[in-house]
Amino acid sequence: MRYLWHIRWLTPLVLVGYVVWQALFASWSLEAVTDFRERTPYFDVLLPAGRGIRTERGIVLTHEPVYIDIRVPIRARGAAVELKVDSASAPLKLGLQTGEEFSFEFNGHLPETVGGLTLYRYDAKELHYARPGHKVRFIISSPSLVPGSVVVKEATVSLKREPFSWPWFQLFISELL
Amino acid sequence: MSAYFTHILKHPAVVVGQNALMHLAVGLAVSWLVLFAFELLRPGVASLYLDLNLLLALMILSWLLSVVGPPQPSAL
Repeated sequence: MRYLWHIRWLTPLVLVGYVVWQALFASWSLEAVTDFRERTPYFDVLLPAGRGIRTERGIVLTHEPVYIDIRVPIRARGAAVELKVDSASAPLKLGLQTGEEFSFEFNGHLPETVGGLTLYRYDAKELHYARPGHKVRFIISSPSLVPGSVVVKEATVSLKREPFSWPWFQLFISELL
Repeated sequence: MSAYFTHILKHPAVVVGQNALMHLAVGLAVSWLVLFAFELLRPGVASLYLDLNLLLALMILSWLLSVVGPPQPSAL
């Protein structure tokens, strides 16, 4: 009975401390999966929306290119995207938008085929942006696409966190004030 | 009839539990205010990891449970 009142300050310490720890010091990565059927906090649908048709097999692309917009909710150092398409699909390229203008960077990773699906990977090791909430845009380009020849199944993004650093913290404080 | 059901509220363990719930409600209220202020400063910083509505619901529930008292003699 005598010590019960400590709950009053222990509860805020635990809850606020957990959030502060996650926001500033935690370094593990976050993962999110989507099948592009609806918007999620991390993913938008494939854009422009008119270039994909939702079917039971997945999102069938009618035109290219389409864009994958990822909303980065944390201070991330890098974002890796793994795109699963039907293995009968036309070959495609996965790229990252590198600037405000429409400049994209493609990588030379060869796709893998696993159990009826083709996996495309893009590992963006350096993200250049100031604050969480920023959108990272990936591009799916398939020059040999004829309508219906690419079926997108799902995508996974894993975000690597930027660990706490003093210069970043100064930026964080100056943005708050 | 209600006296049979509510006389357990006079049990010392229940009184201690209600006391703890009252402190918990205060702690949850303080943390909700702090986390909500964080959330206003930077949307998503708290709600990505904790459900603020759940904290509010737990706070109200624990406060309600902590103020349930034994029946007054006049009510018996």
